[in-house]
Amino acid sequence: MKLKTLLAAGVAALALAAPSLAKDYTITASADYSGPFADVMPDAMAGLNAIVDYWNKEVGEGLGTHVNLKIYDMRYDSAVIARTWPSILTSDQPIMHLGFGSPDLVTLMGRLPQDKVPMLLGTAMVGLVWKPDGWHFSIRPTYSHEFAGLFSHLEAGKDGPLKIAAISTQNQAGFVDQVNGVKALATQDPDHYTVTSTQWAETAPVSLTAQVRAALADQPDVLLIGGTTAQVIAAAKAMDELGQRVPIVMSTHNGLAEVSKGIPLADLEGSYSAFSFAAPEKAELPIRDIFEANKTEGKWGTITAQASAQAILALRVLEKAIADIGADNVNGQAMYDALLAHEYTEAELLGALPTLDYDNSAPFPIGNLKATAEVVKDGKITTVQSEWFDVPQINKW
Amino acid sequence: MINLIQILIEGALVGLVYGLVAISFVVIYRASKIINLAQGEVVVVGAFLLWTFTAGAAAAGYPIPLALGLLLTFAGCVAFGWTVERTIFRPLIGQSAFTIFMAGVALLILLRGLTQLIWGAQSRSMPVILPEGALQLGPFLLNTRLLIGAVFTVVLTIALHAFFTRSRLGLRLAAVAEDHTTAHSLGVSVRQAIAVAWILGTMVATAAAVVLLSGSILSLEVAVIGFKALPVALLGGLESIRGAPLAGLIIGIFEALASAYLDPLTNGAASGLLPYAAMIAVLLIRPYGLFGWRRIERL
Amino acid sequence: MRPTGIWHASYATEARVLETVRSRLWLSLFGAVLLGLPLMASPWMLGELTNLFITLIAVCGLYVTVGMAGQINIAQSAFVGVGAFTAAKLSNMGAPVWAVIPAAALITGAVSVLFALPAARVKGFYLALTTLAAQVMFPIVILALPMSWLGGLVGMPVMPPVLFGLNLGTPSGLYFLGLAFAALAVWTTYNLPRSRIGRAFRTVHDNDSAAGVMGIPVTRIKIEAFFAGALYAGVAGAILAYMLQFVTVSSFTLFASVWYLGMLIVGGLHSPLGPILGVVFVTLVQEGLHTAGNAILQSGSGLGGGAVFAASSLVLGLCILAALIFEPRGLAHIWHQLMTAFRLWPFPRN
Repeated sequence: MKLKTLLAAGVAALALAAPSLAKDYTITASADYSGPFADVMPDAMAGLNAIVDYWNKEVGEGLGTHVNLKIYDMRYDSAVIARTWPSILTSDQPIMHLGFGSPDLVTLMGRLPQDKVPMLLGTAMVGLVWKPDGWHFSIRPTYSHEFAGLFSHLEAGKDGPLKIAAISTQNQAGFVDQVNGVKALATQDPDHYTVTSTQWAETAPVSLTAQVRAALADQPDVLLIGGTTAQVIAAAKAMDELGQRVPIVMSTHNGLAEVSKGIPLADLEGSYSAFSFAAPEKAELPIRDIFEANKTEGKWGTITAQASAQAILALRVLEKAIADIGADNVNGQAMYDALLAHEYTEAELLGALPTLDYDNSAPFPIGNLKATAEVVKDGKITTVQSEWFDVPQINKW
Repeated sequence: MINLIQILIEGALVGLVYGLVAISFVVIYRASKIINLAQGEVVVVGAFLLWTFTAGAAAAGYPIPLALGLLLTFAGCVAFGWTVERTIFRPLIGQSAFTIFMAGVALLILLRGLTQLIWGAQSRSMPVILPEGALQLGPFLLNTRLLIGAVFTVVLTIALHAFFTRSRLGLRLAAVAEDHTTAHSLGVSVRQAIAVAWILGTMVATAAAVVLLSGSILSLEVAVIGFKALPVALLGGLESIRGAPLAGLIIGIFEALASAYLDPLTNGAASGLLPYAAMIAVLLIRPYGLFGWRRIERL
Repeated sequence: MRPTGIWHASYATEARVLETVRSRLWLSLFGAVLLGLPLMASPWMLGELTNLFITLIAVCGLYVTVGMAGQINIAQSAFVGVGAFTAAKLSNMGAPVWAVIPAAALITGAVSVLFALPAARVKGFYLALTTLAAQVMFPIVILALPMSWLGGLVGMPVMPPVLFGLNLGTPSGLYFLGLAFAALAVWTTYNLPRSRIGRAFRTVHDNDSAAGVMGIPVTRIKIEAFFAGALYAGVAGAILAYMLQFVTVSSFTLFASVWYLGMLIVGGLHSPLGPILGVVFVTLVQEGLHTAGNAILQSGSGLGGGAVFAASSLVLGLCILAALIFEPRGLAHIWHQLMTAFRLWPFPRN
């Protein structure tokens, strides 16, 4: 008797819990709640969650599909990823993985083609892994491409080449790669760009005065610092001290939003942060409205914008895959094919990204790349221009 | 030439900051014979205390005047140092130096988790405590923040050296650094020594945090300074207060010279490697650091 | 303490690690379970266990250097890294797995000797500095070398391990590879203290001046202790490389070295059982908390994951402190006490 009631209750519970007729797909995501990006992670994951919720409500229902987003804390550690990944494959059978940062990239890029799961990163690519036929893609081109977009804007209408001085860290592969890409641009087009010098500094320097003095000796037009927030702040202070001011060009992980937590924006007047998803404060940004309407936690900002862009592209790829082969048959291969086969327009991506096109030649968008940048104007972060910049072609370095 | 001297000056100023952190390390060793691997974490704790009583309190709606904030910070250091002594090191009195070293390892992991749990991993801005800008001295520029730090380091070195070699309490602490058991049997309170060591050590570490972070950004990553200072302290000699700033000067200058003249040729490797190579070389000539106690061993 | 009724008729029986039939039976049973596990365990479990084996090998090495010979080594993670990069390089040159792992061990050993040489003049904590130097120099050197040597900035892919035509790169293959070498590591760790060199390590640990007087070449023994510890690190690195399939310097940090030391202390520095118990315990705590954190994350309760993950550092730190304060001989000693109590029951242990 007892057993029977238990069984009956169990069956009832199962029936209630059973998914409605919608086909479930799992998209997995890497988070870093205990590593170097722990501070921005809640906002990033809020971005992913909000966009997936929106899509399930507004689009998925109509298509008869439902997307489960499963977030794994990878601690920004290759070893954790390497041992979690096989179990993700068997237990979740994800149709796509949303990656975060270089540990995901280096650990998974060799495995993905065999595992038939494409990965979409929200962080920018590095030239180091610019190889054809990968299953790893980023919504953004390399850091160097993003910088190049801004540089081409700054260079336009200038007499002689744009002089760029760089500060980077010698034991951080990604940071060195940023400089190498910009150097490649300069060797390729010496009439428009030149890299005056590269100074090496620690990621958390006590003082950057010596490096900044050496960098400024060549009278550069901009100072490229794609490394850490602490470096940007130390450089800004060093320039104060030296009584000179040259705009600093940074990326997103050490960008204006992050730096402004440390020093007043007035001290960074004229400095830029360059990237290639829509600037969070851009006027007219549909994805921002959708985030605000669907969020359960988190604040809109650079990292949220990046994560939302990553999520919306993944979901649009799913839509195309469904259109190609039907709502019940989507798997990793179908997602990969759909990503490469179609062009994704800015409107489809809710303005979060420029129009993107992928092929198997590179792990990032191809064709006419676009980028954008923020600048500090009158003590406030604003978009440099509402239109995207064209990124100059850079040969592989 | 002017350029070279400027590089030397900057290297020396940065080196003295390493020296200041190294002093906090040496103070703890000199008074209690504890090699504290977690000194970088102690700097971070000091910095977070400072932040809490200045910017943090202001953000929470209770602005505290800077002087009072500093006072509260140092009170916090006393509480922290005492807690560490009471809960961790008092039960370990009489254990081997090796065990106590391992307690430092534990403290490193513990404090890292604790700061993240209490304050979170977000980076935050530190208030400007030392004046910004630079002092023009003939053709040379001196960063005021680092210059004040350097002067402070030198004054502190002299004061602490006098304390450890002239005052009764200081001499008692030196006895503890020689050997816990012997000190104990001679009537020196080892507990008191360790408490004093930690309170002093945390205060110096917090002072280092002020010099290091004034008007800059505070994140958990700041703790790496501890592993820059550990070699400096060893180079100077673990028992020598005066050795620490001197070793800091050597390391700072070596690093600055390598960074200016060798880095362009070696893709940045030289400034990372040279300080360590220099330290190993010095240790091969003077195995107890520059001014460390030469321990006479007998069976 | 030995159970009653056991006596030895020859030196050979006395020298056995496992003295009774029952203990041998238990060990075989345990071995059989470990061998049969891939049949039923999930890939997640296998991944965790493989990682545990790799960590165990590295910590066994640390036990030899730190626990037995008393030489502080805060660069074990860098030595694991040297092993991993050696394995990656050799596997790319087409070397088979049975050649790669011993070669990685030997080369790592050779590198460690370079940093142990100052032991000729430097003692104690000052010697720890040279290992710190090894840890700091490791990434800088790898990144500064030409890219064609050790992958430089990119890092290096690792060819999957193939043995007799069998791909060991699968979760279960790696599990067996890890298990085999972990067993070897444990076996050697148990036997080393019983050998001539092992006793020399101990003597140097207890009092190196006395060791010198007794005719032990102290400097050479210290260097050998580093060499031996690094052999283990090299093996751990090679297997880790096969598991990661791509090695980069960022995996081998100073903090990882500190964790290895932490595991050894919790387990116990003075018994070969220490590394085993320490690694198992810390891995259980860490992965348990981490799994709990992931569950909280996915339950969508809106609770930030950060606190849970900070807690894992906190708990390990507290464990080490508790071990040091209440049981400096670590979990290994608690284990021995429990065993003795069990054998003597119902009589009190004294």
